[in-house]
Amino acid sequence: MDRDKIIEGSGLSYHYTIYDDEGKPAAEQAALDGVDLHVEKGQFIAILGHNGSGKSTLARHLNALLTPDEGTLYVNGYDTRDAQYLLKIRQSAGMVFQNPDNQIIGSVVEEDVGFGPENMGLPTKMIWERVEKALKAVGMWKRRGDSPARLSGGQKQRVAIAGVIAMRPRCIVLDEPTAMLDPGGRKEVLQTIRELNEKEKITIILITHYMEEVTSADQVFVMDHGKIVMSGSPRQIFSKVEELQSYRMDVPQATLLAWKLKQRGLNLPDGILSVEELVDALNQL
Amino acid sequence: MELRLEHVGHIYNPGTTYERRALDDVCMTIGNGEFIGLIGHTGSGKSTLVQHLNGLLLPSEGKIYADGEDISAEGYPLRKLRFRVGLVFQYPEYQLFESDVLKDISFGPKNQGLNPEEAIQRAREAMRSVGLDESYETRSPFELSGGQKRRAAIAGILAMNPEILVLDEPTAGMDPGGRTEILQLLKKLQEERGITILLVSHSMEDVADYTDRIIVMEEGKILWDEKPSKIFSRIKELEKISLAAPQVSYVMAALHESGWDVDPSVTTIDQAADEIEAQVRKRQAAAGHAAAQVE
Repeated sequence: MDRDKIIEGSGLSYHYTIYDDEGKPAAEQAALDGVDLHVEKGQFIAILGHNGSGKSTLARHLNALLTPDEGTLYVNGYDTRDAQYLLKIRQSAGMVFQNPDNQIIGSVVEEDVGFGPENMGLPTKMIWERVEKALKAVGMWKRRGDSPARLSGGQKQRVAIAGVIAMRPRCIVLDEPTAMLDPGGRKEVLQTIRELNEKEKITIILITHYMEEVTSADQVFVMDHGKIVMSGSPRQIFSKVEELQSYRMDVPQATLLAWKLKQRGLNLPDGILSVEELVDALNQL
Repeated sequence: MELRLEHVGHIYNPGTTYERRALDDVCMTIGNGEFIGLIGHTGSGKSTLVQHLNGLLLPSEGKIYADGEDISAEGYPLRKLRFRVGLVFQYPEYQLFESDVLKDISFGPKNQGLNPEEAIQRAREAMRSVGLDESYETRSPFELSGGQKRRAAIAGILAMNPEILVLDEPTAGMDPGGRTEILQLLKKLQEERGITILLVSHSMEDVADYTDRIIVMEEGKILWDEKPSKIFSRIKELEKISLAAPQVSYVMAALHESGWDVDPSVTTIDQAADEIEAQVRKRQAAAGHAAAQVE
């Protein structure tokens, strides 16, 4: 086993069973089909793919909410099929979901964040230390005494993230964490994710439909029909505009604009990722 | 039809400790086949506002007129208003409930009092306009993919033949391909059937690409009600209220700032490409001309 790897998945397959009207199994549908996923500790990984491509099924494997029908998956060195490691795996890989309202249970921000560590059976003093550190890491320490109901969508999602990091996971899996947020909230959450990755060295696995959110990832995977069909750096991925579009994906607007200009004969580099890069490249023409 | 809001205010739980003002002096007129975007951060009052448009909520202050008639007046047929102004909520697929798609979509028109054949006819038309063919009629709504479910849910509202269609984040959680399908469907409904579309969205790119007019809400008030090019030239002000402009606007603003003679109010990729290409060609021609003179 590779000590530098937090996720080691080989040949992962998973099938959903479809039942008929009488409740008897009628058909099997492959949601994951031979997926290999290797993630090194401290990486920022992004997973793209259309609705139904298998992204969320894969995410649910990473903290053993689901276990593979075929293949093996080690999270932080623990085999997800082995039930005795369940708690260890869930402490290694925390999950953040789309809707912040479904993830917050406490009536006060700090209580909500303390729920996880309390459940882990930690002594009270240690719980409060973790709550403080987690809330500071997401920039919500000042709002610790507030009711979550008084927070904006982005703030709620940051509290949900704090609740996960209070359990000190090595890795956080975020399944479309910004889908319900306004542009400001999206920016807040993205910045929080990046900081956790850079400062706390937490491995990030981000699933999203917003292309501009993945430009700072170390590696991007694109899924289609339960398989990983593209992988590479954001620059490599986003230079293949047409291939991405064939998987119902898109590219950031700055990238698309650069690509269109290139097609019209302007001498621009491939795979421009941001507004700044495009403006610089144009200024150098 | 035309909906006119005059100084509309809405206060939740008046007279209690939970009293909260959600709308404040809102004045606007919608109708006449426009494609309108409604943007604002979470909690700015968008959802409260849209629930007023078909009388699900009635104003605490001010008046709403539908084709000149006060909808709060005693005896006003609110039920009819709800058929004329169709409201598609967030995640509308959670509201699918019937055993097959055709039954689900014909539920609305049946409720409108149409006889079963007419209701089925309307449902079939609605299915066609959202791109679900006959083979889907007998399928369970729960077997459909995410994008198909959402289109079926929209068809359920369309089957009531609304004149104004209000959609609260119809593309939330959808992949880029699915987003484009829904938005192009809305554009088609607006262009071909003259339905007024009011799109509530957190995607500045989508609003910039599809709408003719954008209403910006902040703290229950309408902050601006203008063309997209006007709205998205206020990048700094939008960011202050947790909004943004499409990336294209940032590119054009930055180019303009570094001395390019491009229109900074451009909001779509194709317009931007035209502007930039024309500028580059002009510069190249000038450079070529200068070089020729040196020679």
